[in-house]
Amino acid sequence: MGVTVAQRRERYELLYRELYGPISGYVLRRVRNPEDAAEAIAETFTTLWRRLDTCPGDEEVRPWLFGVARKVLANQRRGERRRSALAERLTADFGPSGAAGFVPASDGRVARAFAALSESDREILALLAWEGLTREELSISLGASRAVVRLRLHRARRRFEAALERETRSAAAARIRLSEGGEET
Amino acid sequence: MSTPSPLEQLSRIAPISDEEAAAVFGPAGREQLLEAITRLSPGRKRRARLRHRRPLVIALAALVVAAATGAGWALTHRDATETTAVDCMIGGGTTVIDATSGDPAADCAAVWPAPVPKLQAYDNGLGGVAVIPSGEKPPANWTPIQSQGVALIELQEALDDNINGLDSRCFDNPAATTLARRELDRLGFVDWTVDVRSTSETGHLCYGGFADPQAKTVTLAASGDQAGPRNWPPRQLANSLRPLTRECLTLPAMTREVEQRATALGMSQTVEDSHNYKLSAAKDDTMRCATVYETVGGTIDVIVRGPAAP
Repeated sequence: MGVTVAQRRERYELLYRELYGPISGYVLRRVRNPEDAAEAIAETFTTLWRRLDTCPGDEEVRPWLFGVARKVLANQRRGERRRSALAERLTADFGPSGAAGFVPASDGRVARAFAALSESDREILALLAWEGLTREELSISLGASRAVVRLRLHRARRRFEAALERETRSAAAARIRLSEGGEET
Repeated sequence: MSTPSPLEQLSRIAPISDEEAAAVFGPAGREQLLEAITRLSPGRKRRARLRHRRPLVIALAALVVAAATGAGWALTHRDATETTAVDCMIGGGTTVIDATSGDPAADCAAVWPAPVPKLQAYDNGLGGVAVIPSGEKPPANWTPIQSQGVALIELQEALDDNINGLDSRCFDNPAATTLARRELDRLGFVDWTVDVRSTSETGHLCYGGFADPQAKTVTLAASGDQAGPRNWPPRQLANSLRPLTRECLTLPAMTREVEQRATALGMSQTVEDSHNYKLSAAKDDTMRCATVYETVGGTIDVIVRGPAAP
């Protein structure tokens, strides 16, 4: 028996209400420009509506939709869209990376180490630490096998730890210079 | 007290929580977006390319932001001839497709359910091109148009191309600039400039690009490596089609070759899976040899353009 229009809408509404916060969070953790964020959220949920009949089962929708949002943001960053003049102006206000890349709240050691990573390292680590995805969900979201995800995650963690270590040493060296009366350069 | 793990430290610097994010556009923004989306046609039969559903998405985004701020904004007027998308208003819904032939009505006819009525294209006053049956009355601010700029359409295709364009491999800043300049010159945009939006001194970056007719600029922006793994279906198809770009074929011959090579890779235009692709052919008898581009959005699009006969 087929799904009625009402049943389809009901399923969509349930998913929308459950996922609006996580998807808004995913987008706004990566984009500062409000119009870009609104566009990405709208496009992600429009894709869910259009593909409701073929998207994964309910338990896998969340990581799948993160994957959709990731592609939407990638397209935004690639500039494959017609920006309104307002979006251009807002983006300019935030500088060249206004609509691209992560925007950690802190400018501290962790944020600098994180910012020093490649985009793909940042994405997999953020999906884990910010979106709280499990290893299996990472696999769905990234469209990669579990083995590939495990490898990518291992490498990303190692590079993040190394970057963090560098930042820690750098901060310690700066503190020593300051305590010795030297000037920080 | 033990030091938190690096991942715990990372989780603590998340710029915003889900709860805070959900509140950014307010309950009104959230509900208006839900209402607007569920009024859309589900679009199960035909998938328009995700990334070209711009007018619709911009309109939805405007709803969200307007609901949050209490004040809407008018989308800045742009010339409809500057867009490379067409909004086919099928059955009261909206299906946005790539412009391919330069004739918006003909492009929509290719996706319109049979029997296809006589169609008319309009400038929708918001910088978009909309197509409706010519028997229907358009909104007051719409003005009829006949064509879109084929060169601009081809420029964006060439930039997005997975066969030889910026999506075919990782182009660094100088290589991307050279490619963009070459395509601009080839397609007659000699007074356009190439602008690099973002650079980095740390790490190797790959660049994508988009054409901005208003600024007469191709803007290159760091995009991460879009090339995908070797066994990614669009990559396999692009590799298979690349030799064709060195031959001088007619449109029918090029179309045949594309279909044969896609079929050999197990790809289909009718089965909607990861091996689904869409082939668009546009006749242009001013060309000597056919061109082929492969772009990837919601699906794999192969665009063939060329003369009907040698």
